[in-house]
Amino acid sequence: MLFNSYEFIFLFLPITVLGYYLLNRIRLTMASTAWLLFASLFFYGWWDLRYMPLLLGSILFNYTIGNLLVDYNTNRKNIVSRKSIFSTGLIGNLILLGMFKYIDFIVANFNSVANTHFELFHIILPLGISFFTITQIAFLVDCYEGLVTERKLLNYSLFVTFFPHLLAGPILHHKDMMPQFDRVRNKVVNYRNLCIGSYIFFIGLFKKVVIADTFSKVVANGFDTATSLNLVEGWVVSLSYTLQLYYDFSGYSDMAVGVGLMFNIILPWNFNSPYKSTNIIQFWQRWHMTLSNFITTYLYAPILRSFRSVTFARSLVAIFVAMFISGIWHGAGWTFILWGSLHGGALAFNHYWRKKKLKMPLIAAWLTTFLFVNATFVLFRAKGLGQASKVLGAMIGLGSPVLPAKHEAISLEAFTHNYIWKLLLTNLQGSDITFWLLVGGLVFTLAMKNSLQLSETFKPDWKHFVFLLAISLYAILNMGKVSEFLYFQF
Amino acid sequence: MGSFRRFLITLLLAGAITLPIVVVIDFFWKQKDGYADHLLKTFNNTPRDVLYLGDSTIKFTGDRDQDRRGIDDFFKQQSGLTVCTIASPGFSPLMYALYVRLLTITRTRPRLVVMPLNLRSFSESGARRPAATFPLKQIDIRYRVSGQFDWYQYIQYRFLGQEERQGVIWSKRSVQYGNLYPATNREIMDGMRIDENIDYAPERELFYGNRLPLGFRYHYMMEIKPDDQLVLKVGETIDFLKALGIPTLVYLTPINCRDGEHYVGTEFTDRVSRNIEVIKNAVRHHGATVIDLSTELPASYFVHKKNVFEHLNTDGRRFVGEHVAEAAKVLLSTGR
Repeated sequence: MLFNSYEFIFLFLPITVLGYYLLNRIRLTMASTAWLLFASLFFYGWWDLRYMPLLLGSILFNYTIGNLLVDYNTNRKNIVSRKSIFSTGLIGNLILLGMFKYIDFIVANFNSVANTHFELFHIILPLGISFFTITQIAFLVDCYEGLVTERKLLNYSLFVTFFPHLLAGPILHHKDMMPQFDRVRNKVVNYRNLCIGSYIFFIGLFKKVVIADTFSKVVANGFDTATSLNLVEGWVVSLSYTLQLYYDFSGYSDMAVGVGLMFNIILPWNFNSPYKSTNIIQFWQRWHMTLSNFITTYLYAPILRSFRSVTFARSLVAIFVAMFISGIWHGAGWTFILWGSLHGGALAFNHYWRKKKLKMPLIAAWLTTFLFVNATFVLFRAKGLGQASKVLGAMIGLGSPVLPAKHEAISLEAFTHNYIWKLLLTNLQGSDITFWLLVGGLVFTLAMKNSLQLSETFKPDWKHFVFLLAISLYAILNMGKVSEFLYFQF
Repeated sequence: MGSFRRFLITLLLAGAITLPIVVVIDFFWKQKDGYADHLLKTFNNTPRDVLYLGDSTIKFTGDRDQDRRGIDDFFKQQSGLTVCTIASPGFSPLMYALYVRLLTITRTRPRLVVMPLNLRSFSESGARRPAATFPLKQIDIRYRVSGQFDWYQYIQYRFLGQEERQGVIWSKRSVQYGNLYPATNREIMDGMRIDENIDYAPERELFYGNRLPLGFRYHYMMEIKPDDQLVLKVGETIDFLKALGIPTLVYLTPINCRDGEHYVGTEFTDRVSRNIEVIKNAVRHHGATVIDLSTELPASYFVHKKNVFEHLNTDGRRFVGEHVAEAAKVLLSTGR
C-alpha cells in the first residue's frame, strides 16, 4: 500500500487510528498495540503476501538472538560464546539481505570475470528489506553492547513493523521507539498531534505527488535517451532528478512522521534542507539524517575502534569505508558503489579541509557542494556506469550538438514563440514550461522553509487552515496515478 | 487543546464538503478535453471545409527538419481548403468515432472528413494499449454529446487508477503473432527499445539488428480480421458521417516497408499487404474513398526510427499532404 493512495488515506489510516484509540479508551492497551501490529502487517502484506513469512521470520530470528544476548550469563557455563551468538545474528541478517539484494550482482560480476554463464536468479526484492534488516542489526549490536532493556515481543515486533517507517524509513532506534509504545500518555487522543500530524502528512503528500512527480517524466525521458542528450538536456535531467529524489524521499519521510504523530509516536526527521548545505559534511547532517546516524554509530565508530590507535588519517579511512558500505547498501550495482566512494572521498576531503582551516566564499562553497551532489545523483539514478557516463558526459558538453539547426534556433520566431525550448529539449519532450518548472523548483527548494520548520510554527489558525485544506485537496486530486517512491527500491 | 480539536473537526468537515465540489470542478475544468473544445469552437464560430483527424504522423517532425509544417499544413496549402485538425499521438479510429459525434452539436459542419489509418493502431502497441483509449476524453466527449455523465467510470479512471491497473494487465498479456517468440507486451517493448537517435546514423542501425525486426513484427504483423473492433469502428464512423451528409476520405499512412522487408523478409510485406486489404475492403464496403499510401515512400523519408516506423520528415509529410489534398479536391468536386 502506498501513502499516496486513496485506500490508504480514506480507509486504512482512519480505521487504524480509530481502532487504536477506541481500544485504548476501553483500556485494552495491549490489544491496541496488537491492533497497530496487525495494521502494520496488513499494510506490508497489501503489496505482496508471499513475503510476509520472510518479515515475520526475520523478526522472530532477531528477537531470539537479541534475547539470547541479553540473557547471556557469563557466570554460567555456556555452550557458545556471546560473540558467536552475535555473529550468528549478524551473519544471518547479512545473508538474508545478500540473498535477495546482491546475489544477481555477484553472479553477474563473477560471470564477467571468470567468463562463466551462470543463470541469474531474478529474485524480486522484498519491499523494505534493507530498512527492516539494518534496523534489526542495530538492535542486535545494542543487545551485544548491553544497551537494550525493553524485551516484549509485541513491542519489538511493532518497533520493526510500524507501518509509517516499515518500507522506506526513517531508520528507527529501539531506545527511542520502545518507550513510546508503552507510554500511557501516548494512548490518549492528542488533538494537537493529530493536527500537526495531518499538517506534516499533507505537506509530504504535496511534495510527493505534485512536486516530485512533476519532474519524473523529464527524468525518465532523459535517462531513456541518455546517448542522445545535449548539454542543456544533460543539466535539465540531472537537476530534475536531484529535485525529484529530494521531494520524493523527503515527502515520504514527512508522511511517515505525520502518520506517526497521529498515534502520538514521534519519528525522527530525515531531512533538513540538505540542498542549502555549504559543505558535504553539512549535507550529510541534513540528508537522510537517520541513515547518517546509523552509519556514524554502527559503521564509522566500530571501524575506527578496530584500529590499534586512532589518528586523524585513520578516521578519514573509517569515513571512506563507512560511506563505501553505505553505497553498497543503497543498491547492488557499481553505480551505487561509486556513489558511496565519491561521497566517502568528499567527506574525508572536507574533514581534511576543516583541519587545515582552509576557507572558501560561502556562495562558492554552496555551489561546489550542490554541483557535487547533483552530479553524483546521476550515478544514483542511472541503470549502469555506461548510462551515467552518457548523462555526465552531456553535462560537460560531450553529448549531442545543442541545436540541430543553428540558424533556426537563433531566429526571432524561435525565441518569441518559445520554440527554442522544444529545440533544446527534444529528447526530453520538453518545452519552456520544463525550464521554468525547474527554475521554480530550485528557487522554491533554496528559499522556502522545510517541513520541519513549517511544523514548528504551526498554529490552529485560519491561515494554516486554508493552507492545509488547499494543499490536501490539490494533492488528493493529483494522486490518481500509480507512482512508487524512489527509495522503495532499497 | 480545544483550539486544536476545533481545527481538526473543522478541517474534516470542510474537507468532506469541498472534496466532492472540487471533484466536480476538476472534471469541468482540468479534465476538459482540449481537442473537443477546439472542434466545437471552430465549427460553432468559423466554419471549415475539412475536419482532418489524425495521430502523431500528422505533426511529428524530424530533428533536422528545416520546414516543420505538418501534413495538414501541406494539405491546406495544396488544396486551398480551410482545415480544422484534431490530431494527437495515440489517436486511432476509436477516438475518431467519438470526435465526429461532436459534429451533431455544432452550428456548422465540414464538407469533408479526412481520416488517416495507421496500421500500427491495430496492433497491441496501438489502440489496444489502455493509455491509447483515452478514457477520460471518452467520458468528456460522451457527456458533451449526450449530456449523460458516467460518474462511476470517471471516478474509476480519474481517482482510482483504473487505467494504470489495465496497463499492468496489458503489459503482462502474452503476444503471439508475427512469428514472435511468445512474450508479454512488456517484454517485447523492452526487447525492441533503442535509446539513441538512429535517424541520421545508419551505421548504428546495424548495432540494433536484433531490435528493429522485433519492432516491425510487433507493430505490423498482427492478423487483422474484418470483424476487428477497430475495423468496425472505421465503418461505424464512415456510416455516421454519411448520415450527416459528410463524405469521408480515408488514407493508409505510409509505413517504412522497405526497412521492414529488409529486417524481417518478404513475410513482412505479405502480412502488411493482407492487413491493408482487409482495411481497404472494409472502407470501400461502407462507401468511402480510400487512398493507399502505405508502401509509397522509401526508408529515407522516415524519422524516429528507433521506436516508430511511420513518422515522416518534411518531404514525406509534403508527399502525403499533397496527395491527400489532390484526392480531396477530386472528391469534393465529383462526389467520388
